[in-house]
Amino acid sequence: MTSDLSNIKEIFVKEKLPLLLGFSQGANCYNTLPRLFRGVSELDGLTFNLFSNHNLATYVLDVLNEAAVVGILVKPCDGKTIVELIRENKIPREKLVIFSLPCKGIIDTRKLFSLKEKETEFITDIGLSGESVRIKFDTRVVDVGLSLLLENKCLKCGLKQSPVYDYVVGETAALASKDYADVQTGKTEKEKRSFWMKEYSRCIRCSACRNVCPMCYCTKCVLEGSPDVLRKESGARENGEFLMIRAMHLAGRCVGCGRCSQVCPVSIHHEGLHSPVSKYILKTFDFEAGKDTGRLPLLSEAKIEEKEDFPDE
Amino acid sequence: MNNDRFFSFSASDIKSLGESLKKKYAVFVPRKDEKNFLKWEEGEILLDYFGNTVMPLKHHLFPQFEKLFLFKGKKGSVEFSKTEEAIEESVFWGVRPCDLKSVELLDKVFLSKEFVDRKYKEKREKTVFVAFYCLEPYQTCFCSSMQYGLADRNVSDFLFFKLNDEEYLGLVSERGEQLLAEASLNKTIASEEQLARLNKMFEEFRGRFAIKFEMGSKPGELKDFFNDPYFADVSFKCLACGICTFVCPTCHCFAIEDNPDKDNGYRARCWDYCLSSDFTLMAGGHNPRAQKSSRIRQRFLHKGFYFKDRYDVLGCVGCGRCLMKCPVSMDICNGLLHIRGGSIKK
Repeated sequence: MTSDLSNIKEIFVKEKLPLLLGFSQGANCYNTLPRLFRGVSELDGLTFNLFSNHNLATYVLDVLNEAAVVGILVKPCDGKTIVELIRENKIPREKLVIFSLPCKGIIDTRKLFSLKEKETEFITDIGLSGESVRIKFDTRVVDVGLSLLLENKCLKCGLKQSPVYDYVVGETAALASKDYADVQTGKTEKEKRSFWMKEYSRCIRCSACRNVCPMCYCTKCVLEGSPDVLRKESGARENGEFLMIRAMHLAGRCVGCGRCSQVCPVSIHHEGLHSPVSKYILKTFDFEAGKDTGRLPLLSEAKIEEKEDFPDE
Repeated sequence: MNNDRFFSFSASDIKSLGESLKKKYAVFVPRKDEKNFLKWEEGEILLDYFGNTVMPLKHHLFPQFEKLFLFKGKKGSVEFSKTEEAIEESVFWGVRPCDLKSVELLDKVFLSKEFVDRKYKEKREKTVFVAFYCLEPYQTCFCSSMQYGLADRNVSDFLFFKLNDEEYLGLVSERGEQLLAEASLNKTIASEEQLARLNKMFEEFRGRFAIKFEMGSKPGELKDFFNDPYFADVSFKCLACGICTFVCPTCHCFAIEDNPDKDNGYRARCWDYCLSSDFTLMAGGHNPRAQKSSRIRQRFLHKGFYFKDRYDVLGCVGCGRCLMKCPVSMDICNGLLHIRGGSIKK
């Protein structure tokens, strides 16, 4: 299940990298940890598997304070984030040595845990054989097709490798291409409002969604610390403001890496906030975040011929 | 097992207790797919369930956002007044022992050391806790390594132990005895045979934990931790979000916010989190904990050192919520072992 990463060590030495952002094994079979490797001897602990869900781009800006160049392991979705950080002039391209990983997809731990017969069941081992995942619980074994456990975003990845890279460690499984066919379909205003108010009321304002997001790099977030902008009160209305304003601030910048949705402790449907914005932007401006096009950031450019109509829906 | 007197109850006794409490109190029960306890409106009362709520019990006694007082501007002066909400008497039904223990710890923070928090005290006195001892731990639970044993009876009014679908044993407080009388329920003292079965179940339960460690008895010196590279090492991956703090049953740091609105307003307190970059930011711009590693150090030392120093008990109950919900698998157990010594048990 763990990929062969042996050539990364050679390149680390060859490129004389001081640091490498990568993954290491966690305490449980369904945990991988983000790790900053500081020397070739530490690279024995380097791993990459179906649980390496972290988007390491979120650490790049901090790490570049320490070193002139850093190596980074990326899945294609993480690579899309790097494209955006470069587009916004946050990272000079030459400061990164990017390794594109042979990603088979990432297992959604919520889908995995839904296979438990009861919440307190333990998962003791997970293995992959072809397209079948074998899950060992304390008293039974279950075989499930990999595609049934993958994150929704993985099912529509469409990328053979990261859009930006220096080395390709291996090709990905490259499942179906990204589309927005199932985004924002056929719900009335009333149904949407009712759904979202329920989601917002669960929010605890931990701001993990913001902190894990590589594009939320503001050192001082406008939505925190200023009661006249947004109060700390975690009522549905205030929480909704936080979530919706964050979605607006990510317009044209969110690549759909899905980390916000993964980290949310109360399982709010973050995808449902960001995907409609991305869909609208694709339709209206023919712009998709994560594509290495050389274009300026979306909201930094305007064309005379652009429509000024407001959307109906 | 200590000398506490266990009583024997049937499942229908407990159901009757629940129905009786519902007549007089607002009863809150844990709900799957919700973050916290919700009011019990209809259906049967829970006699047990697997797992625990996402959010801990402190939500109720120490709310995330709480108005402290109101103020009103008048010509040249300010008038203060109390907030109006009335605290209703409530029952929290289905509490776990780790959360009971957390209430004991929060009591030390809010009710001891010369200052009594009026708002916490009122809610605390008006809350009845009906707890059910766990049958099985989560993969992330480690209360047994925190050596608390049976949760403290100063908190629960009822602490039930399920022997089987029909038979329960229970510990009952003084207030609990009154509530039993109101429900017209008699209590029978548990038999030796029942106690023997309970002991056996406890042993099996303790053997089931995925996480087992033994803490040392001698912590390091505080001055040695200040520059300890351990904290910089473990803090790299931390996202400095508020998850661990908000799901932790014992975290209690708060910030104060004034909300003026022309001539009226209120002062409120709200949960804060020590990993926030401006947690220690002061007027004038000084920030003693500007580095993330120093904030991680503070968090671990608060749980594993300062709290014990001040209140004579560790500030962590072993509920494992932080382990379950942390996006990058930060490990408080590892931190506690580092600070207090000790080792993982196989």
